[in-house]
Amino acid sequence: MLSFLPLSPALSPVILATSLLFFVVYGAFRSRASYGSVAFLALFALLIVMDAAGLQFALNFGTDRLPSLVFDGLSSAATVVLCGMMLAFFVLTLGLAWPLEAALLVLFALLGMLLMVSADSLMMFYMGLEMQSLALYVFIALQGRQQPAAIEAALKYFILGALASGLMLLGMSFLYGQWGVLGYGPLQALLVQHAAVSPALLWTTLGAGLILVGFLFKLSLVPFHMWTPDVYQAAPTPVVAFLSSLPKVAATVALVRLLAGPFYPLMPDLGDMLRIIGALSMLWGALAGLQQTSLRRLMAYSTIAQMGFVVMALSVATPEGMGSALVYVVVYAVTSLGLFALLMRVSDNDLSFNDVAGLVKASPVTAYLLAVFLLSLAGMPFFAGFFTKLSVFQSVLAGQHYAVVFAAALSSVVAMYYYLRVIKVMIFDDPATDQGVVMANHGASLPLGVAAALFVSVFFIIPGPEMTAFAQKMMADLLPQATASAPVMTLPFEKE
Amino acid sequence: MLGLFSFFSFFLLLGAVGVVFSRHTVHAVLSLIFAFFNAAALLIMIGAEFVGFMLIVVYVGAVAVLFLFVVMMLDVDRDALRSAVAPHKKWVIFFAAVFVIEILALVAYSPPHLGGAGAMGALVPAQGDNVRALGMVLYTTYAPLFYAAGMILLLAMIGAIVLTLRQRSGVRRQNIAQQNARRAEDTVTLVNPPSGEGVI
Amino acid sequence: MTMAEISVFSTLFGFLLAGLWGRSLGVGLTNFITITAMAISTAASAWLFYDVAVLGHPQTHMLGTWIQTGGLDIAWALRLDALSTVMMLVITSVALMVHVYAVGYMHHDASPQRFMAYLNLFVFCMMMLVTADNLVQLFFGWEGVGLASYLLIGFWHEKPSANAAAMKAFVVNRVGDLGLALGIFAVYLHFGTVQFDALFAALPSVAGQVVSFAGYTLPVYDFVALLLFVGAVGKSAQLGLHVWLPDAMEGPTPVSALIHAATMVTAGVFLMCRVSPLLELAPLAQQVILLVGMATALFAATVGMTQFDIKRVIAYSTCSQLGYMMMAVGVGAYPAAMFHLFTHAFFKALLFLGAGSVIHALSHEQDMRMMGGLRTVIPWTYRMMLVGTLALSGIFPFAGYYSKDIVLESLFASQGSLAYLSYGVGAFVAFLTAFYSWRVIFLTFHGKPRADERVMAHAHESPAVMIFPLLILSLGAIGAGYVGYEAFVGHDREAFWQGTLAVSQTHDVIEAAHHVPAWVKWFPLEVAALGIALSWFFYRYNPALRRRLVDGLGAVYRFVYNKWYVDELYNFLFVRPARALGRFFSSGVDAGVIDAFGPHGAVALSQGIGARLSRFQTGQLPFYGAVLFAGASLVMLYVIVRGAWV
Repeated sequence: MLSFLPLSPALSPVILATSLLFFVVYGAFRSRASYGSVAFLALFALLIVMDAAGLQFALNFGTDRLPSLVFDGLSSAATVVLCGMMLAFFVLTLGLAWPLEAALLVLFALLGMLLMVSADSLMMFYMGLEMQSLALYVFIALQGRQQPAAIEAALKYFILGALASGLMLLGMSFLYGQWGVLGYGPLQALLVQHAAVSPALLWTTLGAGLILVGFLFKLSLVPFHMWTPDVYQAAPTPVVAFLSSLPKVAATVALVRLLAGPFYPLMPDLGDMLRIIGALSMLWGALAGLQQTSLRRLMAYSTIAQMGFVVMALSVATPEGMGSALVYVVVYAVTSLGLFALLMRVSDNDLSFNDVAGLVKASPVTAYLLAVFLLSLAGMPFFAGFFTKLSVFQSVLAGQHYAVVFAAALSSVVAMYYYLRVIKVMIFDDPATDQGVVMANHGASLPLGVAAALFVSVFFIIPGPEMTAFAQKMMADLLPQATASAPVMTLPFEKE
Repeated sequence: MLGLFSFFSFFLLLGAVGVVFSRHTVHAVLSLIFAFFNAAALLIMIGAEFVGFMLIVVYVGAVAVLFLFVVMMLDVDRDALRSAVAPHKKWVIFFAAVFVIEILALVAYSPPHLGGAGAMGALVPAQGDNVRALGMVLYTTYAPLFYAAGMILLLAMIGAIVLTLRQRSGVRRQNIAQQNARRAEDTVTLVNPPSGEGVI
Repeated sequence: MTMAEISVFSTLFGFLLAGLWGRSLGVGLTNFITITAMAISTAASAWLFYDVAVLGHPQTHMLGTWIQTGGLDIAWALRLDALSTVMMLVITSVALMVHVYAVGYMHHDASPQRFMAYLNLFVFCMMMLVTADNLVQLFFGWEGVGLASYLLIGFWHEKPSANAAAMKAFVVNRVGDLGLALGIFAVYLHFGTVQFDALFAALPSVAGQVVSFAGYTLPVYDFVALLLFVGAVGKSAQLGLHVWLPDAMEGPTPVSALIHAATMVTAGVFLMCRVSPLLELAPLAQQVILLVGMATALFAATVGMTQFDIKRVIAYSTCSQLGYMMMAVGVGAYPAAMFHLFTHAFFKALLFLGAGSVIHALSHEQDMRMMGGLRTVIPWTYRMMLVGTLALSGIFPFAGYYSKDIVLESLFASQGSLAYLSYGVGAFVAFLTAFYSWRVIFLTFHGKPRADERVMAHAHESPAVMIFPLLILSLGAIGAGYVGYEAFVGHDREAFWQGTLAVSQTHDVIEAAHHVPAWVKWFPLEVAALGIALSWFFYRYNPALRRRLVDGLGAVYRFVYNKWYVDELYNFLFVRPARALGRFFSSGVDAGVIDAFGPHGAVALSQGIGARLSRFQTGQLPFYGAVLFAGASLVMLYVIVRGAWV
């Protein structure tokens, strides 16, 4: 990552927040300001943020800290990835007739995500999560004037999200009640220091479990996934493109930070739970997707299954597992962004199978690029999805968790059906109507789709191996230096 | 002390149950205010009098009263709401009950050990009053959190405005500058129609 | 990259190029590529023949490991010795001519590129077969040529008869291949290796051992040799598994010339010669081979007399000549068998290509009753066919004379109880051969034209690209016998074969064949001349007498004309029961049981579960909230249960 300005990575959320405030003022005082103009200006702000975060690697700053925030390799890499996707999203939506506030909302969401990925305390993480969620609720409801269903979806998401947040806060209060600290570092030190036999550890695990519920909700894993199909179906396609990519990356990184940090001593317990939930999600996402006729609903179930893979990889708590989970989620987000960008070329509304039948006749390039993304999601060799799945499988098998791998394989087989079915409908079926599929024209969606497809196609040459090696190296540095895969705690519980 | 704690806690729970089970929304909001008061009392009991009073000022004085206004102004079809919830009511109650029973069982099985190394003692300032203690940390240790909270409030404000503000198209508004700038030459056309034909 | 690899793999390269991109390369470029590949292969093979067989430098090129597991070690290797280089020379030279010929013959076809690609594929597989260093690689080539044969017989896949013929060839060959596969298993079981040198070295180790099978007790040697021979029966269309060869004539004529006359069908003979040290220890198997060869030669010759399809007549003659070769193998005269294989390749390819030229001239008419009088219309074809026919009937000094004579002399000189009988049958078949091959000439080229006028008006000599290969092959048909005699079976034979063909310790058949009485040497030539004369008598001088004779023979004639009713017998015995069984398994067991509980069952189950899960998604917010709480309580339950237990 090339850097031009000597900025500390700690400045990345600060720069974003400052420019965000500037955009608020700009929007308020300049009556001509539109979504496009703010989004355009935001591109520069994002570049500067990326620059600040990228400097971490260029100058090897090591770790930088603010109170309750930490800026290390993981947060900088996540910041760069998130801002990069944000750039792509702005480029994609630059020409849309959205209200100005939409740009502010997604920037707020991004700010929340940046706080999430660099949070060093439960409190800060919760702040980031709330900021992100709140912005997304409003963002989904924004199109309610045209699509009342979007309001319904936003409300469902909001209320369920509030419930999940409540559970998460309950879990945090358990932890705080037990240990009296909120910072990740002190919490981890206390947990490592004290024994597994401690009765306090039961409450601690419980608190951690409830915090995980919040994550599982965000990542839409069974049984906390119920909002996903409804929201995916009701929100406009560009919104879904955003929803299905960036928040997943941010939540995964934040989860990695927790699981590799304070919760690492609890992993023997939490790992099994995550594996069960991952297996459930993979199977549910694959099986329930079979019946869908709406493309976006189908993609929602696909997300559920894909996130199952991520959680499965996280559950093994090894550098390989967590590294491959990070790469997996990034590749998934890029794929998803590209896929929805291409769907925008057909329509911003939900599409049924009939709507895309014979798409290849109307726009061969759209159909074939979509096929590339679907094949990658299905895990076809020589597309990125195959290699990320492979490394996930390898890392989970190394931990000898065969049952969950079996579920994953089963899920891949079943899900293959619906991915291929979409391809079949697009490429081999005749159009449902005489005039065929009518294309809407979005200027930037094609170049973005091509770029994402290129990424997915040559991933196994570049940058796949580098990304995987980097992520696993980073996780090896981040994880406690325990030689055994499961940390052993032998010290007796001490009360001061 | 325990008696006082039990007293406030009991009424706090009672208020919370009242919020959920009141048939009338106004009653629900009033129960909420009742719960807030009890919670504030509990906070004051442990020495966090500033937070306790803030709870009353902000939540009771502003938020809950605002709720009350909104609830009274809206015409909520309670029967429709109830019929929507009804088919799922038993499930909701069942799982909520399971959740509570689990927590109670856990408390009975293994009482929570409160007060780790960081300790609750931090809540009670070593010297001076609550406000001073808060001021000491709010802009130092917790400054990023404070700013983040500020951003969230700003976001909430923008969100509320953008969702509710309706810019109707086709509404005629007075534009004084435009009115003053009008000139007769630009707007008035004189025609001289032949008689019997009218103006086309 | 040595000559060996070039000679074997250049055609694979040609096949890949022509097969994958033939459509975009166009006809001209594809022809050029495939023929160039073939020419390179031919030149390399000729060079190898000179180096290995003439100068005497046998060698084995290791290409790599194929299968290595436990005691089984199978390598990819090119074994170059006198036997394999002779085969390579035959294969490549005939194949090159056929490639060139095919350019003209397939000129009007819809997809000549595919045809040329298949031809290259065939040559590659055949080369792999003959250069195999072990039985498994040989099996690879064996199946490869089977595949190429299947593809080429069914090349005109829009013709139902071609499809049926291709399928028939494939299925019948499966029977033989099963025998070969069992033979390879048996070799590995008893000798612990499939590599030829190791196998021959291990032969003495099982002396005296027997195999008990289905109540019979057989020496190991005979058991293994007979199993391998079953494979040879299938590939070389010996009586019993010969039924596919006449039908294979549905393929384009160049295919018939290359695969079903000169090369692939001789693979069985080649296999027998390759394992000749084993056969020398298996007298019972030799007897069986001799008897089968005898029966095949006789059967095919009689049927050949009565057929009217010009290609079928030649096909039956091929079958009959293969019988000769097997007879020679049966008495241990492997050099004679190889010599006949060598000469036969040239004159039979010549005959087929000539027949193709006739068919080409007559707008794809194959029935000889619709021919006649073509001598003046297609003079060059006539001359070439004449050369081929003279060679086939064994007239001095054409190639067939030398090779057929040494085969018959070997039969006479062999020691077994069947020596004189087999000689007698062989001579009789020589008589029949002369008769029916001249029948072809007379019916096709002499007499009055029987084709209708429009066809005759169109009849024309084939283009130079088709006549030229005929000329080259006719050189072989004339000179191959004289040129090869000394080296293959004469005084230089031991120096030439370098021990690749076994020679009996007790009785060198070839040596004895040179010392038979003079009349034995003259007799075949006399009966051949008699056959020609009789043919002339019946078909030119007095056709009426022939018709009366045919009527008089009645049932016998019909029996022969219907190919001894072998097809009908097989239909009744095997095809119909097999088809019924197949139908039972495909519609009953496969669709009814395996599909219902396997794929379809799994699909129905998945769809069913999916539908249930989808119904779970009610869209009702309170329900979602309940599910969320359910999940949270389950998480808590998990933590509590686990915490209480641990």
